[in-house]
Amino acid sequence: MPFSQLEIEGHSIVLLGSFNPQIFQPSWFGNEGLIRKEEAQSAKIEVVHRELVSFSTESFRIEVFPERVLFATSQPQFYDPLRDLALGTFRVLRHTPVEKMGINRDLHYRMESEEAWHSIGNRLAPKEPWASLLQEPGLKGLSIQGARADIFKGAIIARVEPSGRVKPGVFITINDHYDLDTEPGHGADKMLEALEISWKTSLERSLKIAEGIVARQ
Amino acid sequence: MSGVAVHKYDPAQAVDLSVSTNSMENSRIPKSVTSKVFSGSVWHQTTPPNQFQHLQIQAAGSSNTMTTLSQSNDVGHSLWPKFNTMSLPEQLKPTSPVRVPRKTYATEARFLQLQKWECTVLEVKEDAFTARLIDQTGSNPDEEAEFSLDEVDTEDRDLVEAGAVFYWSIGYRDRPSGRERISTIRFRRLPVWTPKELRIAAQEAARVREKIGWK
Repeated sequence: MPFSQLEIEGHSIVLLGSFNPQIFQPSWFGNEGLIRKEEAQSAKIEVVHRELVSFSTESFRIEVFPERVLFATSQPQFYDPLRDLALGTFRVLRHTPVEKMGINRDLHYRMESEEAWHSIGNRLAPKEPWASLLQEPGLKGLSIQGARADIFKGAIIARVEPSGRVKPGVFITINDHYDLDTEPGHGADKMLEALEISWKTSLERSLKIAEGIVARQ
Repeated sequence: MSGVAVHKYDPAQAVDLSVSTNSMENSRIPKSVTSKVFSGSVWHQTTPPNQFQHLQIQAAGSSNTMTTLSQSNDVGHSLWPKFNTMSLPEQLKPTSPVRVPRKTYATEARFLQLQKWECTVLEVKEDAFTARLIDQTGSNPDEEAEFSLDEVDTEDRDLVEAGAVFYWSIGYRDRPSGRERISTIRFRRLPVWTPKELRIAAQEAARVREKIGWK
């Protein structure tokens, strides 16, 4: 087995702004041609309420609060369709104000051994400073924020934890966060632009960050 | 249960909260769970939940675009409440209890992707179509291939026309019954381009043209 191996992953786009959850129902997505009608009809609805709509299709999960929308998938073959779904939705609803966006990637890596697993924690958070303060100190979670290297405002935040799903494993979540500076009347334009421009770079970067964290050193 | 902040709680999902509480302003996290999880859109209740678990929305103060704060044993629990700074006007804050979803991602058998192409339809024939394939997983040169229309989902057939974009993935899907090799074709579904997007595309084309010295 390799030193680390990606075992579970997911991708999501989170938007913050001002939304009307009741619009975002499976039938609406189907009628707008954003998902197949059959997929819309077979969607598993969890909640339809004026303040929250939540459902899953065979490919996506969608969750809408008045101030937050989430599009997610755990299937790599639907990553690009996920972007298309978010783009398509807000091309239709382009006057909806979207102020912030996160392109997020969650990954669970299985480590080849307990020793390999500890080596990641020890490298990221050396125990020496804690040795006199805590008994058996161990890394429970670590967030590191980096500046953006593109034209957008925001930050890239990586968080590392022991995996709760894979043992011994490491969980990494990358939040590629965009502050969109949406001007009144511009609705979702900035978000559409940022998502269109950044998607591929964001995917590659988040994977590179994660692979760097779990690499043998 | 209306009028009371109700929270789901799963004792099996014990994750350090110290980082998250330090990162939140005006946290609504009940003191009773200060060392416990943060796994969903809401905190989990410390008392036995009723059948439908009506919950107050807790995402109202979120200004953070992460999917998870801590993975708490499940990829894809959604945003934790009140992570940082944006404060909403009072009228936008939720008042009604509603059910809150538990997971961010749809539960699916794991798909292990071997190769992925972004493809553009070149020509449509009676029962087949040809497409240009751009490798998305390596640096292989572009290829052309012919696909039977039978490979396309019935509902997607109207989308098959010259210039249409689709994604072709091949890989393994692991199910309890065993591993199967699968191929998926998914056509891009987008409304028409906006004038601004067309402008951006034109600018990008001009930039590329300039870069390669194409007159």
